Amino acid sequence: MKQVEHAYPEVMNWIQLMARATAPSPFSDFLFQWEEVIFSGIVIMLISVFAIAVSRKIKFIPGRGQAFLELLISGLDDIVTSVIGSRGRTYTPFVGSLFIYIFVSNLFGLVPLQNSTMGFLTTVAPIAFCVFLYVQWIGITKNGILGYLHHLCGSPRDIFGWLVAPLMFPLHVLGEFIKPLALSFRLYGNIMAGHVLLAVFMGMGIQMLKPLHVPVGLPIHFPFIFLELLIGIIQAFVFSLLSTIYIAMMLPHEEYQHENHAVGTTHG
Amino acid sequence: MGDTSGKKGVVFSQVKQIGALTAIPAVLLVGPILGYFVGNWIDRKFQLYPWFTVFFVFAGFFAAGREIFRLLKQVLKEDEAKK
Repeated sequence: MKQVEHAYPEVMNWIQLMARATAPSPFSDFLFQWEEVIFSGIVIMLISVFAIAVSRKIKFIPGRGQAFLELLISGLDDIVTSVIGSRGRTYTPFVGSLFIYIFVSNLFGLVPLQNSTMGFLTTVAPIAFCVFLYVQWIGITKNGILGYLHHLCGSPRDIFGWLVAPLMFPLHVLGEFIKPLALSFRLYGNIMAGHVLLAVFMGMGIQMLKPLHVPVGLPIHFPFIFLELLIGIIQAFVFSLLSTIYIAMMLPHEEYQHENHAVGTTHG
Repeated sequence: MGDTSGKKGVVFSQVKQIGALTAIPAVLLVGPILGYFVGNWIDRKFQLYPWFTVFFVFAGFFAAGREIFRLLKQVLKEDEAKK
């Protein structure tokens, strides 16, 4: 049996329950191995169904769904344009997708018998890797190959800059890899820690009523659900914000400064 | 696009700063760890232990510090531009 046992306490979800009920069988092995992929698929399906359902019935006077979606997209656009400038709107779909997926995943993890895919490093690390690849792609396309290498050497402008360039190059390359790793570890750590917290308090609640021989426990984990909700929103926001900042750091300096100044005069 | 000026803009800016500040511990932690793995891999490849491990641990630490500096500079620059 290829059951994955985690080293930390966790709340059972329907896939684990189903896998344990059908074990040992190839089906239970499949469920254990593809748990996070199944949850990711469900989340993607939920987002897609909602987006398609709302965008099919777009009206001049928006309904509840359309108004919510417009508010969300406008907020995400604000985050991106406030960091990069009006040209940063090109990156709103990418950053917005990150935010919506992480946010919905985190909310989904609070539904009983469901799980957040952000509690799996195998889901979070590829998302951060996508950010890394996208940022590098922007660096190469916006700066050109030579400009990108110049950026990796610390953008030297004088003889001293060129002398320290061989030392700056590994530092810059390391820095580029530090970003996605820090992004993924922070998100994974926060969400996983939240799950562990809920599981521990659920277990304590059950233990408290054990002498009474009742099949329920005290809901002492309840306040932490709100904490988890808050953490879920904050983490989705921080992940998107940092991704936007990393994109801004890779853009050509002149373009960014010009844009940022324009934003400053507009909103000032 | 919504309005990011006034009181709402100040709150938004503060939330953004807090968001950027929360990245500091993770970046500081990941830098030397990544440096250790890179240096250790090179040392095992060329049998030069511990030179590259030590070098890359320090390089990772400096790279992490530099990333934090750039991150904060970026966030503060945005606020300066808005003033």
